[in-house]
Amino acid sequence: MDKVVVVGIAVAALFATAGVLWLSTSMETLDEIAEQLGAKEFSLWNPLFPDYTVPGHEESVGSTLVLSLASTVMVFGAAYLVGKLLIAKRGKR
Amino acid sequence: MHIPDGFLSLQVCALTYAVTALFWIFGFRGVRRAFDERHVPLLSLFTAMFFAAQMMNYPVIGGTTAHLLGGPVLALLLGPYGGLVSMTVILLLQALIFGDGGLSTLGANVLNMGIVGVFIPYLTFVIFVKVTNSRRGLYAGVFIGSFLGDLLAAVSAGFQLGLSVPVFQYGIQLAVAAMAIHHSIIGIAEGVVTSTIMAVIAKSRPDLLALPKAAPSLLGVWSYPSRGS
Repeated sequence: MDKVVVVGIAVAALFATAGVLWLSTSMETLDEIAEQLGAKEFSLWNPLFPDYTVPGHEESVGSTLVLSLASTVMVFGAAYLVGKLLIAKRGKR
Repeated sequence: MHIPDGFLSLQVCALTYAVTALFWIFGFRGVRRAFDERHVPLLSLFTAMFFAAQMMNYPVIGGTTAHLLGGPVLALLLGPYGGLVSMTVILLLQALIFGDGGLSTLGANVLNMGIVGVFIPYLTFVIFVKVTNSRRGLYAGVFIGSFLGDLLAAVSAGFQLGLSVPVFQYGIQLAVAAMAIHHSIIGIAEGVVTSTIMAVIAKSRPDLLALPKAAPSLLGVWSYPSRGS
């Protein structure tokens, strides 16, 4: 399983890198029709890193890349924790 | 496909949260029953992988972009309940940390990408495997299921937007048509990617496909066919 995890994390890092370097332009259908209608989104919450960028360094590809890689590792950790908690709960039943 | 805060009416937000909450109750319970230590690295790995994959925006039609969802792979490997848990982690962190998708619309986003985008592909795989009992049939099911999952997730989002008049003034027909047409293209890409991942895993680590799936008993559990065609 360790080898699978290493290969998988490498693939995830590759996806994140491609997402930042080559496939970063986002204009989803939803954004387009919202723009045509003049619909405004608002946020109930102030996210730490809006639009996957570091505040104050929005144009820096380097900081966006580091953030993307770090957040991929963070998501791995969060899902690991959720998985562990779920199977631990089963053990206690 | 992430719907931000402000695009859905209060009623649609409440309704989608209610439906999703029901699936969360069964989903987390199903995962707790079916998963063991072997599932945890897979759950973490594919959650991280599809979080990263959702950062890649592919050009589709008229200057717009779309991204892969990842639901079909999650459903295949972890079962639909496992896919729901994984997608919930992705969408919650995207909303909280990156403002990608809203908090009032989290129920709708999970309903579209974590329920429709996961259960529809899974149901399609199961039907194809049961009917054909062949690997060729399974791969046809993987491709068609992935396509349908993406398409119907977009249709579901279109319905929610269309029902949110006057917040979103396009109406159901236009919202559904726009979302469906654009996302059918990414559905084809999702089919190709899912089939490729499936083929790689079947060749290199077939034991991973044999892990127990967290799925409702109504849908049943698929197993990798022994016959090639």
